[in-house]
Amino acid sequence: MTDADQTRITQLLDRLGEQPGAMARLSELVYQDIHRLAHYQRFEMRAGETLRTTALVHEAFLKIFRDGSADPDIEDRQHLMRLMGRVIRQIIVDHARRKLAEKRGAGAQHEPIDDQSLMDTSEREAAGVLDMESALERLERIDPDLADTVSARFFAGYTADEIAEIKSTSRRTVYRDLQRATAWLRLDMGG
Amino acid sequence: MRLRAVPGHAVMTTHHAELTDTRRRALDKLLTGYLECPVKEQADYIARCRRRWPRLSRWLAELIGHSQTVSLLDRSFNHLASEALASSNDQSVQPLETGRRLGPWRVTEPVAQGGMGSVYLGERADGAFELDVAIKLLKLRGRGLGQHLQRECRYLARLDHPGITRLLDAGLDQQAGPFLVMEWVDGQNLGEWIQSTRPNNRRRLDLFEQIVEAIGHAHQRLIVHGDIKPDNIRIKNNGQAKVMDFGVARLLDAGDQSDRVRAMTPAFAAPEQLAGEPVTPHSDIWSLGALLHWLLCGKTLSRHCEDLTSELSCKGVERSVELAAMIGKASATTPEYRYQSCAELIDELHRLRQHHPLRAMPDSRRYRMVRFVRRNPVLVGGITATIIALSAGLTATTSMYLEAERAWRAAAAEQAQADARAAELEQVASFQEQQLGEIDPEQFGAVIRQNLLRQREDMSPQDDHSSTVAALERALAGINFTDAALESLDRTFLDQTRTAINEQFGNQPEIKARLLQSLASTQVALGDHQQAMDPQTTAFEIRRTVLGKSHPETLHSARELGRLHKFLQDYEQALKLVEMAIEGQTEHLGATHPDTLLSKRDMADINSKQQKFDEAEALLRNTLNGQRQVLGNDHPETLMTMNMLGLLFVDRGQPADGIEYLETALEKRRKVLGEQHPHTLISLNNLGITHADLGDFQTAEEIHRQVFYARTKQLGSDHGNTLRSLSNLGFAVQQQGRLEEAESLHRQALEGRIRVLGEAHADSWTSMNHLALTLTSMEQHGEAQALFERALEVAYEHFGPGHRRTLATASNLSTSKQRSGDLEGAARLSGQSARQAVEHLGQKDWVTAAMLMNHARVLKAGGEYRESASQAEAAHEIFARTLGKDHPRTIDCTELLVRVHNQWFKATKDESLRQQARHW
Repeated sequence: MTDADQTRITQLLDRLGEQPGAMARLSELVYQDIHRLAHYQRFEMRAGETLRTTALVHEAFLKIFRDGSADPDIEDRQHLMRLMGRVIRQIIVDHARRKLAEKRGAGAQHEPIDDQSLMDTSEREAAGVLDMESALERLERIDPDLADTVSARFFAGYTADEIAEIKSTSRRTVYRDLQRATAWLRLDMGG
Repeated sequence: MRLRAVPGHAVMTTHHAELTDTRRRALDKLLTGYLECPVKEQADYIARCRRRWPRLSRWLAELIGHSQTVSLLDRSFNHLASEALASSNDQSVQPLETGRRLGPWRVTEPVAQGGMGSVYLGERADGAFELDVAIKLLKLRGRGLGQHLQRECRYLARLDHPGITRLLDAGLDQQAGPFLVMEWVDGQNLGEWIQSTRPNNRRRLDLFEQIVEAIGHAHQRLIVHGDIKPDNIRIKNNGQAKVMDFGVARLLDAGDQSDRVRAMTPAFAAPEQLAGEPVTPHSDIWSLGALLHWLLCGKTLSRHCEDLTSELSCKGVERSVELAAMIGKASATTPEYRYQSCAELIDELHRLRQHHPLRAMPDSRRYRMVRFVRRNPVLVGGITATIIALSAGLTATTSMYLEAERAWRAAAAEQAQADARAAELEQVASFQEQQLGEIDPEQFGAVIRQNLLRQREDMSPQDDHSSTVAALERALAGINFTDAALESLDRTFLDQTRTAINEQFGNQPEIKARLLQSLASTQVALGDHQQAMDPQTTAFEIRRTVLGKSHPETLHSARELGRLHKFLQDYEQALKLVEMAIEGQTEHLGATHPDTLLSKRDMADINSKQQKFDEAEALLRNTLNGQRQVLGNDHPETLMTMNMLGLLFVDRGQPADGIEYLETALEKRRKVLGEQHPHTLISLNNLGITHADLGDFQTAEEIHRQVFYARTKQLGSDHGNTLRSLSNLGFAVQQQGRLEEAESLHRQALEGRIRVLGEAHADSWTSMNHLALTLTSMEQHGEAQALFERALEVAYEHFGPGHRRTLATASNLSTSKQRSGDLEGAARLSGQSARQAVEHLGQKDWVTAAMLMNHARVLKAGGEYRESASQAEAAHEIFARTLGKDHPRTIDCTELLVRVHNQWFKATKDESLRQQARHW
């Protein structure tokens, strides 16, 4: 995530607090996508997949539009999608950093086998998130648009179809982009 | 994606470090080109790249490989995201400052921030009383929220359980939004508790049970938790678990739909819950399964995990097979496959603790056996499970009744969900029925006996084994170990059930009846018919009074009671009850319903026991036709009826007709059930006995040899059924005059039976008689008479004076005495047994005829021809009437009459006697 984006989100959050009533104007645009996300997630679940992003989307949503007050100056749906992907990614990465920092602060010790996994799970998750974050940052350098697509898809839970629709491109292209992104991420994360 | 065990950023390998951004861009173009390429041209494309950019192509190949695995990465993302969310702190909400008032409460310090809201420690602001509370702010907006909160609060006030944190208040603050006020629990949350106390498995399971109990309490009050997870469990300093946030999920669910934030933690949420369906007790059970998994191995339950068992055992969890099965059942994808209530889950935990078989485990005999041995180390001792091979002797009919009973009970239990305690006890009873019903008391007794001997050996290893063990064996000889086993089972298991039923359900007649019925069925399955009578009668009477005489449950009890009376030879009573069952079943189920047909078959059986052969035959044919239509020609029940029809003919003295049915049943059983199936072997055994009955001992011998080998292989050489076949084989051999071979077979059988069953057992009695008879034929009267006398003692003790077996032994002993020249003693015994036969068995029993004939023989040897002839004629009349003129016994008797008259003629030279001899 670039500094410019960081600044933009911060500004967004500030403005949310300043402009009461603007929320209503945006609601149609926003809810439409959020509801679609929820549908998608239910569908995926039935296919045996666990779907956790709904709650994250809400979390991000709350972050962007806090308590019915502001117009975050969202240009279009593509902008929202990008924003969603980035904000959720930020939430997760921040969380992972905090987690590892706490852990280091506490002084990592070896636990008896019985409880090791208990300690390790979130720690490993956090490490994984940061691995992915560095891979994504590397991808952003050669193709920022691809990094946004992949964040929208994997972090915010947009489907390939939705991304295609929002970006006014073909589904085939989105699939290919995702394949390409996956290849790069996996390569940089060590397979 | 590979997760690293060591935390930290991705470390680039030197291989990767060569990838500069410029190279990456070039490579990305090549990859795009490849992905846009039609499939058939891809190979060419790669070859071209390799020629032109050999170094970059190395990376390209790797990238292409990775590009094929989108879904895998997808899952990883999801997984990571969920974990992050579960404990993500929401930085966007400004915390409430200390001293802030919310209604009558004051915030004293912030405690935690979470996805759904933040929690504060608080106290009464008005100082009305001192109380630490937890104040939970909810991220929830919507119209009418205030009233809604009040309503929910009243609803949640129904929860009053030490394992549930109490909801004290709820309200709506203008700025802070909705809040809940709950009892403050000093202690740790589940994760902290595990880290700080490092409880063992047992302690973890105890704690889990506390949690399930608390959830169960709520379910009974129709309140669902909806968000069971480690963070919602607190452990007080005294070790008490407290479930928090009850009903909060529901509260949030019911909020403004457009701004709905689902309160659930995906890793602990049931599939249907994730799919957006409302929370139910079933989804809570799923979460409990996931919680148990987490408790045991510290990991959230993976929905894709193929092998929970190895996952658990890798974490060093003991009894991983059973625990994996429990988790699998609780967290089954389909709600119907889960435990249906918390009571059921608690019951399962109890089973686990007591080494009872689990509901979740596949229904395998071996598994149940192992469990049985585990929890009865004193009874079973060091004997391995295989020694107590459970008998397969239960007939298909019995197990079918039990099946029906169980199915019905499952339905009823659902209905009466509120009565969890009753359901629990019932499950115990049903478990006993199912499990104990499969125990073979005979074999179990044998194990007890062997155990005693082994313990004796262990106690004094220095002793001269042979003499001390022999002394103990002599001492044990007088004990019937089958009865001992039954008694010990009765004392160990059934006593408790009886007491519990009477103490706890004295004023709930329907439940009491259900439990008593269950108890009675258990005892019947164990072969303990006398003990079953009382609960069976009471169950029937309660049901008749409370439910009415045509209620299906009443009819079921009626039939069971009828069967019991039949077994105890009270045929009149049995008939009345079975008639009642048939009448009701015909009315409610129809005349050809399988259950109605089974009742008719019971009636036929009773008729045949009462010698009402024609009625029995008509009923059996009717049943058979019905079953052929309803169940088909090859159904095990149909074959059972066919077998019974065959036996009816044999009993009636028409073995030739019987054989036809027996053979057909046998053939079908071979085909349908297999050569080695217990039913097939029973069929074969029946056929062997019938052939022997017909005098075809050669065929009988062949058949019994076959059964003997099959049973030796299946059950071992010491099993009661194996020894029974050995004895039948000995008899067939003996009847063909191969006395020494027969002697050896009978000795083997007798020794085995005394060893396994004790001397005082009916089967041991049989073998004593067989051996003694063989010895008599071999003119070894000394040993023969000693054996007969022992057998006679056993018979008096075991069967009573008028019993056909007692009579048979007395008559055998008299024959032996006669042969050895003790005519006086012989005549005294034969006369006595003939009188007792007439008195106890009457004139319609061929055994009476046999006694009379035996007496006639002894009298003939003593020269008392007149009396002898009269006894023999009486015998002949009974034989002819019951068995038919052509039956070997009848013919034998005719020959005796000829000899009596001939000798009488020789003694008196009375011509009329010679004519009578010719007449015979």
